[in-house]
Amino acid sequence: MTGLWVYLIKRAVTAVAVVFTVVILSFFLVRLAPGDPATLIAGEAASPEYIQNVRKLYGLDKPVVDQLIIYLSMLLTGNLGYSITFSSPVLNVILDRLPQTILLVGSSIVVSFMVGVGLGLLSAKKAYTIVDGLINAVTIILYSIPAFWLGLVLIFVFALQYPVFPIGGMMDINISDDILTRVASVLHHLILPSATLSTFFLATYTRMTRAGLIEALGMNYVVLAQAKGVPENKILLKHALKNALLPLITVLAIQLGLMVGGVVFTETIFSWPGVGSLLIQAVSYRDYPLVTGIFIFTSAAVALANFIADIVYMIVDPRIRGEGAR
Amino acid sequence: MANVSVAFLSVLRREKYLLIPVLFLIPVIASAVFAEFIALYNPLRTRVGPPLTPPSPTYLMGTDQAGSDIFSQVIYGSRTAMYVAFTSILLSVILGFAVGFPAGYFRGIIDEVLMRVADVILSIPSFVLIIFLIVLFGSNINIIVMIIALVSWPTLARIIRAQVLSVREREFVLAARALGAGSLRIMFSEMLPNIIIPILPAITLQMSFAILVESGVSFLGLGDQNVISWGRVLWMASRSIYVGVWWGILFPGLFLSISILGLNLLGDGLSKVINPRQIRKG
Repeated sequence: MTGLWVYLIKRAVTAVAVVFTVVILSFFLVRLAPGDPATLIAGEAASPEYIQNVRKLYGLDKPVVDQLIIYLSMLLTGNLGYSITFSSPVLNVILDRLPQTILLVGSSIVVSFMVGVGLGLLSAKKAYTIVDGLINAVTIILYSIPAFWLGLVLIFVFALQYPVFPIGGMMDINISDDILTRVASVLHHLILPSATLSTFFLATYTRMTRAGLIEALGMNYVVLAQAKGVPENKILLKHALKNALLPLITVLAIQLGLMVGGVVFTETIFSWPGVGSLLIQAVSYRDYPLVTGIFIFTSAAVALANFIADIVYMIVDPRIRGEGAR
Repeated sequence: MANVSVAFLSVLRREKYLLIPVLFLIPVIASAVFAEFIALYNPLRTRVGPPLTPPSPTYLMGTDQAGSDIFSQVIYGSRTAMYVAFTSILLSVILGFAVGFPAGYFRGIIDEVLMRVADVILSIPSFVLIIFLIVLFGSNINIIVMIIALVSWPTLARIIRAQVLSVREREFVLAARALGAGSLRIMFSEMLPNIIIPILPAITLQMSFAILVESGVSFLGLGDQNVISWGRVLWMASRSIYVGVWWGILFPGLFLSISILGLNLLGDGLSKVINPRQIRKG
């Protein structure tokens, strides 16, 4: 049991270290950057009086150590700064957009996971045949197509040439208040962006499922099951798949960090009102506190997700507990 | 150098699957090197033809809304992509060696500290960090190159460290040490050659990442305004798809995707050549 706790605490320390580094990094980068730090903290839309105010509030005329202490104590109370363009605290602006991003990311993970595991199963079952090769080729091509180009092509084909799906946004305007109509409209808007975001992860899930299955199929417990006369499909689905899926949890978490980039592009192209498109909006308004806030917020979110994945992995894979004890 | 190319050709002849990525990459590299001779117009010049002309013998890939020739832009875009890929990988390999080598060689506390730093950088969502840095420090192409190197060295450092760990106890290194060779000599003339080859797949993957990042940044309108890049051409074209202009997104996107695909396949193929028995899990 103690080993388990040591492992957990180690992972928690790593997560906290990441967030702390990001905070320190943003603090010093803003002060190192060319230009007046007060403007960089206030945003370019700020009035001279407001900038003067920020200078006092953040103690910019004081030594760096004092500034850092002021900054850290602000962050600890959940104060990420104030966005002038949205006339609202940065944290509120981000939290307003968060549910939409979670919807997009969540649906994309579910889709790519299901399709990826399915393709991986098929690939492993038909290993070293044409089907296997074809799946491998298609997934690596999809993996190599940049999300922003794929998004453009999908919009061009399925929203402009053959207008099956909307060009962007999250819901039709002038829609009835009926909850079902609204949900249907959101789903309709979700399909193209979700498809765009899913393709990148499809390849990884497919390959990992295939590799895991082929490895598991050589294990003794599978050989035993075969000797006992368990049907081939049952071996694949019940015995091998369970073990092949375990590493996917870790990969899922690691890829959340990578996914952030994909989210920024996908949301921007499809004008999906989430945190990713918010970042690009903030950049174009030169709303520096919002950009900094999103940087800190996403880093913390990804660190938290990694930590949760570690815990989940530990629960589902008893072997890791032994490893943590060492 | 001649030896290297002969060795390369013989590997190509043996490992047929490496031919596909090489065939993908040759046109891109050729247009990067010979852009002046291939491009028909100055890519930055507007109004070389009527705006939004479809592809024709005069404008092979059509023109954009400013009347610039997309073919010339795509050709010069290869140069930017290759410039970014090669310079950023050079920087990140240097950083990766500077961190990974001492970490693996001296181990202990140095290793612990350096690898924690690498872990932390790997855990930061790199694309948001990149945008944050560009917003603060500007979008000059060389700044973008440095930023890409800054976020991509940790991956290389970890692989280099692992290689150093596996090589440092091998007989030829022990022999050199027994003969009284110093740390630096052992690092450079004994271990280095045995570490370069195994990191090649990671290098090609990082190069494709670099191309993706630069074009992505330009696509968002945050790139260097004085440099033609595929991402920037796509950014311009993304506004004209609503009037049915397909050529603006098709050609630069194809070049971009083929370069990334070529580098990814090359990385895959190289790791098969280097570790034929390794089961790939990525």
